[in-house]
Amino acid sequence: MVLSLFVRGGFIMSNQAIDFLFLSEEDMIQAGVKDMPACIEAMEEVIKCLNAGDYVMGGENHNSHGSQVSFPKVSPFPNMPKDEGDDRRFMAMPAYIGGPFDLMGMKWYGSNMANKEKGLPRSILTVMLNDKDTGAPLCLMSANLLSAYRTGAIPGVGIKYLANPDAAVCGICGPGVMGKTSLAAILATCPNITTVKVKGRGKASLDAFVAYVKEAYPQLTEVRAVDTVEELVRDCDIVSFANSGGTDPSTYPFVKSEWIKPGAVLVGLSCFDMDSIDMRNHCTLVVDNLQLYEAWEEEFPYPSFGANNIIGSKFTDMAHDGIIKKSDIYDLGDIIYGKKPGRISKEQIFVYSVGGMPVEDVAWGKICYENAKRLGLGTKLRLWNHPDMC
Amino acid sequence: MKIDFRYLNEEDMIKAGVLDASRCIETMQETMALFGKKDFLLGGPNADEHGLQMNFPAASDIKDFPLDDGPDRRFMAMPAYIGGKYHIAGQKYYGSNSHNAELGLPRSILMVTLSDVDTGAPIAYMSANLLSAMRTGAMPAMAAKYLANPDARVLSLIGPGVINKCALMCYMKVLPKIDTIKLKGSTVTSKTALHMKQFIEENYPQVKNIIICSTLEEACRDTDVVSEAMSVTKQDMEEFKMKWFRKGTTVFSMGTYFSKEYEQFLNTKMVVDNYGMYEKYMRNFIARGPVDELGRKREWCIMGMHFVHLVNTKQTARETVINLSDIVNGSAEGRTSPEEIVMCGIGGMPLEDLSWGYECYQKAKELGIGTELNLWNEPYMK
Repeated sequence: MVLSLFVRGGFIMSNQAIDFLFLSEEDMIQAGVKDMPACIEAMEEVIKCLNAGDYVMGGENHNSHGSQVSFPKVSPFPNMPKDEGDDRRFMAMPAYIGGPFDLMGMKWYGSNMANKEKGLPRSILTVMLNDKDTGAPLCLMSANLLSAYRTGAIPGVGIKYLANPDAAVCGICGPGVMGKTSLAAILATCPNITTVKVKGRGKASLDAFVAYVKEAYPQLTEVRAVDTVEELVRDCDIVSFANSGGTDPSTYPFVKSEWIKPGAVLVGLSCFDMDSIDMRNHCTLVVDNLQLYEAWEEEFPYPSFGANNIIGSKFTDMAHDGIIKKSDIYDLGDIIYGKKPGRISKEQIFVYSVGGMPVEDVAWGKICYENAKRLGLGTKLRLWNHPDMC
Repeated sequence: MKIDFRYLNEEDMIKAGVLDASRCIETMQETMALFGKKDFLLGGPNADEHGLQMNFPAASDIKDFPLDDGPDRRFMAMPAYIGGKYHIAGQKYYGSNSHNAELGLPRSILMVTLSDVDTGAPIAYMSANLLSAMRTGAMPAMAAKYLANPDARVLSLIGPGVINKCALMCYMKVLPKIDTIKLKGSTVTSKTALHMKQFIEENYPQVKNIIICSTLEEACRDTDVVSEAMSVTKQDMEEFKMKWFRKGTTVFSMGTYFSKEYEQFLNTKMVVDNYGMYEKYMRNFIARGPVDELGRKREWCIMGMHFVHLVNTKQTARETVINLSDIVNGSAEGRTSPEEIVMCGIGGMPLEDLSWGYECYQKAKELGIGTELNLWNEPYMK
């Protein structure tokens, strides 16, 4: 769709036909969706755009994560899906991202733990990319890998700026898709990692994860499963919480500061918890985009943590309680741009919260889409030759 | 597990019956019945969101940043679940820009995804321009069965664009005595008004008089049914006056209804498609403050919000504003006298896109229409 370009040039195109591209998961793989270093690079551009205000997301505050359809705990209708504490939902996440990306898009997914029994991933995701001016579809793409890689890459950006360069031991909580991709990002960013520890709930998934990591990263000298959060966190330079969890913080993995190795970075991609005072006294708090958490505060009024299970919502709750000041929560973009200091000592401990935003999907989607076009991948679809009503 | 889904372009949708007014009206009736029984879910913490809107700023220092430079410039994502015989999840997603007209494109370009309720897998991805216009037009026509005088003869289409074209197709199914149609476009020479006139002449020979009105007042006076579906900027909004409407008029507003005579609504029957949705609009409106980013005083211009204002300021009881679904389900009365003026605000919900999208998808499957797409044969990561 190049119509908008023609208009800027002063022409009016008579061709009203709209075509767009469909990319299956296989197409996406060929288009490079799993290229983690490229994805980390793209996500660094995203964090810069966010910091510069060169984006728009939904809602009154322009920072909405998305619009969620949640299910009731009880319902008189037998077919109505029920919320059984298993993170079941549908979510629509629209965003515009500027900078080198400059396009519109939306991620749409449904999530249900019971999918696993059917041999399906817990979430099934698609991303649509659109012309920012006309709204015409440019591409519909399978977004399971897209979403997993961008979700992993954002911790990669943070770790690049926050972790000690000699980081050698890495812990992953949750041996799932996010665990794999956040590990990929950590290993792409920290070349000195030799040891990976993993904690999960089921033996089968732990064994599979350990086998996968050993095979995918033969440079590692030690890959092992651990039983407790304490074993996972102790002696680790980087810990990634990539487990899934519901709305009750008392069920989240709980971390005590005395377990944390000086200099470590704890990444909250999903839920974990710490005592507020303990966290304030020992950790520097960083988020991927502060305005996202402010938007969550509006959507899920205090206490936000739980209703939203990302640790950054605990930061805003702590500011609400007066335990910290809002300015004690650092935006990663401020650190990248040098407006705020990053690591100031080898011993400094960071808690880095990753909320996840549709701008990331649109940005990585754009790069995969451009690759696909260049490589001639995908199925070309026509929307209309001529719109029936205009 | 392999996942395939069906892609339906606009032509496929036409073949699948998206423009079938009678079936669409029936489907809207069923949709409202399910809404009244609460067999549905919408987005947001209270499950009452119309959708998640993305607006652009009026000005930006950033080069090429999209700007709010015309009426209805936005993107919107509208997720939902609807139960009953549909039992389907999905969402409508669109971008809207009035400058599209310069490119020969519709103002909005819309797509609907239907998703499996349990797995979230896509079932269908469809062009939704006609789908959305039809369901938007079928809602007031369905409501007219309960709210308009059955012998209505004069219909006024204010904003004679795509929505009112579809609404017209639907009104003509339920109001058999219509013989006069008044059109009000942006100007008397507006191309859309002339196109609409031609469309009526070609399709509805029973319509003897087609009047292109020069003022809003002219369009509102001496009429039986008013169908408002305008797209205007705030600066160009013209105020509706209650005194223009004669006794027995039924006014449907799907777009912009600007009025400051709120108390005048108290003498009418007030009906909406979803009261909670307008409450949320009002909360958002109040949260944004009394002036816009350029310091101009802000006014709301959605009919349902006028009703919410009357309830919130205790000028009327909540019960006096009726959800259309309660009328459909028989727990509230529709029109109770030939004289009463009925004001009905219909903002639309993704439930309507899902139910009508589902019907079209079923038809397409039955007729073997569309393109089968494969998401994956086996997911790469589980």
